[in-house]
Amino acid sequence: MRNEPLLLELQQVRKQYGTTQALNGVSVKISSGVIVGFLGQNGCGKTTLFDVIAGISRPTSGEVRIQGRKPSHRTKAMIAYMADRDFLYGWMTVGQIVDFYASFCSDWDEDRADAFMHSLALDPSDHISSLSKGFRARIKMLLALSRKAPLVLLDEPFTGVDPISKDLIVSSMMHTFQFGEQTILLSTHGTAGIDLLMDEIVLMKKGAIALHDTTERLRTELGGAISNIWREAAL
Amino acid sequence: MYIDFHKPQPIYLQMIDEIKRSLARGELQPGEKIPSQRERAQVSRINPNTVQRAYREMEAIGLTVTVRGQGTFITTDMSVLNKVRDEMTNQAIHTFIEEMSALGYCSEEIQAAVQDYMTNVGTKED
Repeated sequence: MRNEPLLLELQQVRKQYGTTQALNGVSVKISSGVIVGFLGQNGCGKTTLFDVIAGISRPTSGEVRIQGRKPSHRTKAMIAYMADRDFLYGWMTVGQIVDFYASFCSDWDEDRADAFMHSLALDPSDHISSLSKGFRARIKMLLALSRKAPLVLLDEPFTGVDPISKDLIVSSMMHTFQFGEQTILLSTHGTAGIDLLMDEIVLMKKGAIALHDTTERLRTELGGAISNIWREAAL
Repeated sequence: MYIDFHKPQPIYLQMIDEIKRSLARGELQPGEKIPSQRERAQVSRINPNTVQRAYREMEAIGLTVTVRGQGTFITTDMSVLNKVRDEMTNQAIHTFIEEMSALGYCSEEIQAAVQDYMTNVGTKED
C-alpha cells in the first residue's frame, strides 16, 4: 500500500478449530512504519489472526511471512505481542512484573520503560491484584512498547478501559513511536478517534478481510466519519 | 490546539489550516516556535506519520523553518505570511459567496446585504 519495504505478508491464511473456520483465506500486506487498525466485531477472527502472525498458533493452510521469514523463534523475537488475555500475575507488584518481563526480552529498553512508568502514572510498588482494568491496560502497554521490536501487535488495548487511561495510553504510544522502525497493528471494535491514530484500516468480517485502505482515503469516501464504515461493510 | 476533524479533508491539511488560522488571528507570531512533531503527536493524539507529513508540507511551502537542534519555527518572511493571510481571506469569502449564491442572492444583493449587516450589526461581535 506504501512505498516502504514490506514487513508482513499473509497469503490465503486459513485457520480451523474443529468445525469453526476462524480465518477464511486472509491475504494482506503491511508495509514497515505504519499504524494499522484491525476493526471488526467480536468473533470476526482478529485475535486468531494476531496469534497466527505472532507464531503462537499455526495456520491450517496458507502462508505467513514476516520480513520474508516464516514464523519461528526468530520472528517471535521481532514481535511484541500484547494479548487481550490477562497474563499479569496478581501477586506481583508493577515493578516485579516489569523486571520479570524484561528478563525475557533481549530488546528491552530500560529508559523507555522508565519513561512509560512515569507518563502512564504507574507506581512500581502497587500490587497487580489491587489495580483496575484501566491500570492493567497501562501496564500491558508499557510491556509491549518498551521493547525495540519492529512489529507490535496490540489486541483490543482499549476494551473496557476508562477514557483517562485510554487517552494516556494513546498519548504515550504517539510519543514513543519510532519513525520508520516500528509498525503497530492494533485491533479494536470501536471507532472513536481511530481515524487520527491509524495510517491504514483493515476491516474484518467472518474470518476474512472485507476492506483494507488508507485512513485518508476512507475518510474522503465516507465523508469524514470513519464510524460510517460499519454501514459500508454491512452492504 | 483543538481541531474538529470531522471534515473529509486529509488530516494533515486540516492541521496546516489550523496553524494558518492561528497566524491570521495573531495567536501565533512570526518567528514563534511551534511544538516538535513528537510533542504534537502526543498532545493531540495524532498519528506521528500524519504529523510528520503536515510538518514536511509546511516546510515545503515556506511556512515554517526547522533549525537543527532547536526546533521548528514560524517563518519571519512577511511575503509568505501575507500570502497565507490572503489565502485564508479568499477562502472565507469564497465559502460565504457560495452559500449566498445557493440561497439565490446575486452579486448586488450580496453586497447590499453585507453593507446592511455592517451598518446594523457592525463588527461588535469581535
